[in-house]
Amino acid sequence: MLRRAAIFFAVPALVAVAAHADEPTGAVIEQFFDGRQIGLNTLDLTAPAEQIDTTTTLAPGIGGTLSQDNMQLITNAANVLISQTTIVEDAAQVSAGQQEAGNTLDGGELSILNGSLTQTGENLTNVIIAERVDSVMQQFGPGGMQTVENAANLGFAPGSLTQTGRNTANIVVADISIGSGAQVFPFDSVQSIDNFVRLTGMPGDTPPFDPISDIPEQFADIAPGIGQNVGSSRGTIVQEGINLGNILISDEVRDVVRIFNGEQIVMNNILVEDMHALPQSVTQSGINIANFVSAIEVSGLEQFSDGVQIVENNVMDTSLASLTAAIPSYTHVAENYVNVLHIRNPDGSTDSVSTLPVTASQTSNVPQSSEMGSGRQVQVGNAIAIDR
Amino acid sequence: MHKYLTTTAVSFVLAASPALADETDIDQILYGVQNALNAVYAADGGVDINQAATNAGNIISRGPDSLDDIYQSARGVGQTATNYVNSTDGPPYEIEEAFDGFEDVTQAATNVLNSLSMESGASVETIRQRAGGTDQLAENAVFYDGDSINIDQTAINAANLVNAPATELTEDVSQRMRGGTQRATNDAIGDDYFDDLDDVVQSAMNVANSVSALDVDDVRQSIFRSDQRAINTIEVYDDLRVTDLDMNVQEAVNAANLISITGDGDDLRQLSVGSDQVAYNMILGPDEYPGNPDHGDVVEDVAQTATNVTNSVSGGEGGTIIDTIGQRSLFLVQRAGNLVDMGDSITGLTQDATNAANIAQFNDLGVGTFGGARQWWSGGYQTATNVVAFGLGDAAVYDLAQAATNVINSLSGDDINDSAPGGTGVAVSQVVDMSGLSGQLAGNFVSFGSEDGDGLTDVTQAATNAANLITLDELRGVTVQDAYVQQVAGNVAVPNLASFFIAGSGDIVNLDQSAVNAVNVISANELPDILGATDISQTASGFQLSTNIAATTASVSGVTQAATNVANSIGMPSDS
Repeated sequence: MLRRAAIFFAVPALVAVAAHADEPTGAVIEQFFDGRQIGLNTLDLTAPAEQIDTTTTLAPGIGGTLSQDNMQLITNAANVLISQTTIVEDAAQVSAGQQEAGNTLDGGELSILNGSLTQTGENLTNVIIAERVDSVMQQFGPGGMQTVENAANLGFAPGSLTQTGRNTANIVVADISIGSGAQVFPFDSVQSIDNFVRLTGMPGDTPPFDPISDIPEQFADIAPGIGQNVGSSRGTIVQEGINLGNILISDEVRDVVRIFNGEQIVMNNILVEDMHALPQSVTQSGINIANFVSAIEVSGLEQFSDGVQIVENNVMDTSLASLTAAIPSYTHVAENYVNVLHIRNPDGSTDSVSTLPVTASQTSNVPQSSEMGSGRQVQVGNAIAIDR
Repeated sequence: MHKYLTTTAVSFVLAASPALADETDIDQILYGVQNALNAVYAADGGVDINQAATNAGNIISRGPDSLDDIYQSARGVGQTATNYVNSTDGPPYEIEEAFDGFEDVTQAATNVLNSLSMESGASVETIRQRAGGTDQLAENAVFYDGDSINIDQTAINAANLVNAPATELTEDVSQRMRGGTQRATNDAIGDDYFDDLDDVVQSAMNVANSVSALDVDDVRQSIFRSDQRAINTIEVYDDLRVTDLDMNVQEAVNAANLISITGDGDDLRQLSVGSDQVAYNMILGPDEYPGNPDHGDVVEDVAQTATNVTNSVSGGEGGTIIDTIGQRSLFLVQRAGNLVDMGDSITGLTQDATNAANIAQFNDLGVGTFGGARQWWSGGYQTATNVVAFGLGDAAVYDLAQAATNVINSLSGDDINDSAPGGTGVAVSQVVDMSGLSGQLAGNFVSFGSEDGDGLTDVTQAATNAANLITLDELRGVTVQDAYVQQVAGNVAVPNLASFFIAGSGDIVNLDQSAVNAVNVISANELPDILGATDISQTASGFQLSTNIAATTASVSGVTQAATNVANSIGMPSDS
């Protein structure tokens, strides 16, 4: 063992190299990740059928209440360089691993969300924020995976329930410029967000108590919503999902090749098993963005997209029939963007902007789909927006 | 009835201590067995009992004058220091004899091997300390049969010490332990349901290979196949409370390979191979509560701290400059844990379990003949666990804070500066290999029932694993971080079985759970920029699992669960 130790300590001997004047050219950074990151939060209010003390509970499996503010947060981050004052000469980031974020609330039958519940899952990989990036290679895959699953299983939700999923892979934000490089999101890499709420209401549509004379304390707040009298305040549910892949943001972007062949999926679903549990207000939002540039000056940009973007928003009953029309306030957003250039006006500059070149080639063969039709839907491919 | 007892057992083996010339070499070589035993059997209990058991071998204590070359060797030495009081051997509890307990008991059990103490100033040349096949046991025990109050227990084992905080060590220091065992235990044990315990302080500590100095030249510390155990146990069948103290305290510490300097150091190398560290604090109650459910029901105001440290370099605040640091841990096992397994009402409990391996903190690194900073972990594992568990259906917990932390390979300071001109060799390297049965586990667990509807109230749980950390102002030199990790950080708050299946558990109010895994994290204002070199390379694989679980059969209010995994991160310090 001593001999091994001696070898170990001998290794660091420095290699003498011809002296150069220290002329900083920028940092050279490599980051490789091929592991697996799993974040899980579980909140469980169910009771077993064996629990038979009816003096404290109403029935086997009955749930309790959630009051005040309750939060479930998950962050997975791999290959991150955030140093706003640093000049990066070259950065290589490869992320071939998996990132999984799962938040679960299992409230059990007849549980009630009186306060708020926030479920947030965020996955980040291959992120650079710097002053200037001269050369960059970011690769999400092969076999890269980012998933967010938020699941809430409740009886009633008269309070506020928010589910948010965010996946980000391959993003460079530089103050000054982004030079030659590549961003790769290959065919077997996936970003997926699944927000799911199940409201069971009252099984069999029969209150476990006499709604006139015997309302248990935990139901007092929503008693008007029980039975035939539909109450006016029955909660807000917000579901949001955003996938970002291959993003460049800087004043100047040049000579970058980007490939998006993977999948971006956002699913927001609410299952209402009992109409007494129908929420008052629902907002569902799904946004997929792949190969996006925001810059003042763009040259030599090539973008290829052959991937898939899917957004699905739905509120349904047990027969899978849509209930969106029955919800007093229903809003939904489904937006897919691929190969998008946003050319900004230089800050404070009003003249000679037209001389700045924009050279880019874009190829897109992306099936973009969104389900549900009553809200805002956007499908954009191969677009340039110029604010000048 | 009141008794005053003081017993002291001391055995010393000392070098002759004549007047020493200023240039003095000392060789001390010890073989043998030392036992110090104090035992008091007091069937009716007692008051003001003071016991000190001390063994010391190869001790040099020097005033303000210098020394030359020191050699201290202990081979196959056994040291046993025991303090013991017992009132449970008397007749069983009788109502007329209400008091068979103890009041004001102080016990100190101490073993020391190979120690050099320098009072101030002056200098020492070479120092070599060797402990081979040594066995140190320090134990304190109180067995009580009646309400007892103010029990203070300290158990310490130390081997290979250089305690010279104001002295310059001008030449090489070498400390080595092979096949050593250190066991420090404190026990406070009650025997029936009528014995309350108040105001307990237990401290168990093991130290192997420690240097404290002003300036050092080269230091080599190694520990091979050695075993450190620090364990505190309180067993109480009735209530555990405080009367005069703010807190009941259990503190268990194991430390191996420590360097603490306030000046400068040249080449510092620390190695641990195949060694174990176990630090554990336990508060135990009856397994069952036959016929007397009113007893054993209260635990209040307890602080439990369990800490293991291997390979630590710590610089003073005066601006420590170190040339080279090498730290290596191979097949090191560190287990730090705290357990409370009793009571149906727990109030004011803090549990901290910490493992740290390969830790360096300095001002500047690499100003002279820079040889780099190397930190290496391979094999072995770290577990940091805090557990509050009991089976009663009417159990509730108020004001509980649990923190479980594991750290491997950490560098922190102002600057790392590879001054070799044009050098493109690796200046900083951190390697973690957790392949096979190796990894980091940080976990907190609490189970509860319902006390008038209360389950958990004001509880925080924090579980953290970290490997390969660099925190600096300026990082100037090629930096490599390479890791295969298996990290699990988890917090669990669940009903106990009795409440889950029968009565139902109480409400959860204000629960904060945080689980964090981190590998390859650099935080610096200035990043390296070296011509012709890859400045920073980070590689991470393996897995990270962070999870929080909270459950009750009743209601919740104000629950926060945060799970975070980070791999390969370069950023600026959050405070800049």
